[in-house]
Amino acid sequence: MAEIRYEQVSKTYDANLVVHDLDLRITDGELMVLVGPSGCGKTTALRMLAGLEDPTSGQIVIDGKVVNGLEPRDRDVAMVFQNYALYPHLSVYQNVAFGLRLHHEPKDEIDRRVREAARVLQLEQLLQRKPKQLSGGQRQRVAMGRAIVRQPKVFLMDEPLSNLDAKLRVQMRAQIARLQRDLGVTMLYVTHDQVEAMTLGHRVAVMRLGTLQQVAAPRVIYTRPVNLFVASFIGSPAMNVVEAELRHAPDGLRARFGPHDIRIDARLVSERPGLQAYDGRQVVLGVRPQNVEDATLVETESTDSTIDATVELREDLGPEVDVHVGIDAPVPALEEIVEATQAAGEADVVGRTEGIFVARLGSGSEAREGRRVKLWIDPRALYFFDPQTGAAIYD
Amino acid sequence: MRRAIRLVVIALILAWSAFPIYWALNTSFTTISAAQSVPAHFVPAPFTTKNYHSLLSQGNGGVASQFWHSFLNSTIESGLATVLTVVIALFAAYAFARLEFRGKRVILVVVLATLLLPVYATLIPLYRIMSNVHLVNTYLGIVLVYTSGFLPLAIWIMYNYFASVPRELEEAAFVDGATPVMALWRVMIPVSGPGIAATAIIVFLMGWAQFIFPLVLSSNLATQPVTVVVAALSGQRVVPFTLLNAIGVLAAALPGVIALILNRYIVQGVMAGSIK
Repeated sequence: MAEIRYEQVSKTYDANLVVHDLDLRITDGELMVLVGPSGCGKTTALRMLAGLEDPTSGQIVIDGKVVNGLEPRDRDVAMVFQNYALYPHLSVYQNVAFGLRLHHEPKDEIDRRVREAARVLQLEQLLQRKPKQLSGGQRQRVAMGRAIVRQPKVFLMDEPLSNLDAKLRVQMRAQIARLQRDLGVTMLYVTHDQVEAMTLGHRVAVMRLGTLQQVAAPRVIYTRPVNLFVASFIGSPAMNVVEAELRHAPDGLRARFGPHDIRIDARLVSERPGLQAYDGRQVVLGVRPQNVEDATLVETESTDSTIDATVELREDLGPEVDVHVGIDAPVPALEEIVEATQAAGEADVVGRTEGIFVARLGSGSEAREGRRVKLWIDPRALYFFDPQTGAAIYD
Repeated sequence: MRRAIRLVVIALILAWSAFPIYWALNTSFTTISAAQSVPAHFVPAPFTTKNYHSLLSQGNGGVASQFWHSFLNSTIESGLATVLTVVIALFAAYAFARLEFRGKRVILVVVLATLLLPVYATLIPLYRIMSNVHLVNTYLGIVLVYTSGFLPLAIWIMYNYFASVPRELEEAAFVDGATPVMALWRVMIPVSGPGIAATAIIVFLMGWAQFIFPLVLSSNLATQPVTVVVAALSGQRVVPFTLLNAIGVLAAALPGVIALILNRYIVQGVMAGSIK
């Protein structure tokens, strides 16, 4: 068990800055998830901690000891690779025992620990098999076994679930969380999957273009994203964003986008005093699909929080319905939104002069493709961002 | 129809390559007079194993002992050259595939470019060098020359094999506590078994087939390999050619058996990295 600190860590390849001034502290026994789109530097950050890459500048500290320049074998870390990297010529037993053998542990101690790890990971029946005789999920468990058997200070996970099918991924996710809790070991977990990040992490660190954007508990990341990138990247479906203009009306602050004009909840305005400075100015307005509802399902008389739009697509998910509606207002053409939504695997919303809103409605919604629908936008769940910097507007 | 054409073409190529071997076998199992008969017999008639008997019974005025001595020479020279070549190629190929150093690309290209040199260009200089260091007519001299000649190809085959092994395997070993040498020894080499085997087999077969270099570098039976001795015996015109064919069959038997049994490795090793 150990605390990990990245102190002003940077990494450049040739002239490319891959990780930029990373400052991150992972407390003892914490499961920290490093998340971001591909190429954001998260894997490089992990590999520097493992000792597989050297930082160009800055310090990495494990358990109070600066590990810069130390070989991986001298860092007491274990790592699970994306492709598992099982030794193909060795049996499952030998794979798991490999590290212990290198450390010249006594034979019966090796045997005891390998069998214990096999029991925890339900590998007992597979110990004599070779990796190529195993399924993806079994290989993944062997890779985990190889890591836990060494009882290292730090666990490193590099997208360990990305090669599994969706169902297995959910199972293994739970198993990893349980394992980490039971072992109480410090873990750094890298993924591009924001659902994995949110469900697994005690805290989540979001990276973009080599720069750390925000480190916080999943709930905080979701409810108080620091900028447009984090807001668009975290959450599924991705947050809807649109260019809007703020202005004061007799009944309070309102946001106008295209033909739509909604009132902002007075308490929200008082909680976000920073909004006052944007009176009469452009902002980027953000609304999560979960905060939009079919107006017929909401008990409200007021038209202050509703918009009329045409349904372009209806996706019935069972317990709820996703609808895509056209919005007559420009989508901000910001790099970070493109990046975040592409990473999340969602439709390219940019390049259209007219925006698309995705709304997650109750299953009772009668919204039909090609028809008009009246949508209610929760006036207490709006997000505002500076259109130049992308920074969220709170204080 | 296309299948039929393909089969015919394959049969023709096979016949073209296999006929000399078949003919040597045919002749080696018959008598001189039968072998010279017109029209030729396509099966040995009369059938006799006399030629093989005489090779195994040390008779025939020293032909048998000459043959077996040269057979041993071939085995020693090809075997040692194989070991030396594979060991050196292992480290060289690993360095080219995995380590970062200045001029890596250039050095690799230069090493491979030596494959383009015609052997005759190096024959005389190599003889002069070996002569100066008194290594003519020694196993060491021949082994060193073979090794220098085989290394570029061996490095190339193993380089491709190593390059096809995922880096993560070694990285996993490093994190598990291995030094680079341990990772090479415990992971890279075992994983590359087929590639190493292929290299060894190919080098051994190339060594066995050498003629012009040992002809120049060895002037007596102390080091002459079987290729040189067979050529010398046939030139003397006193050894019956049925017996010569038996010698040829035996000389080809060892590499033939190796190629037949291990051809799976040869194909695997040489194809590594070409298909992803």
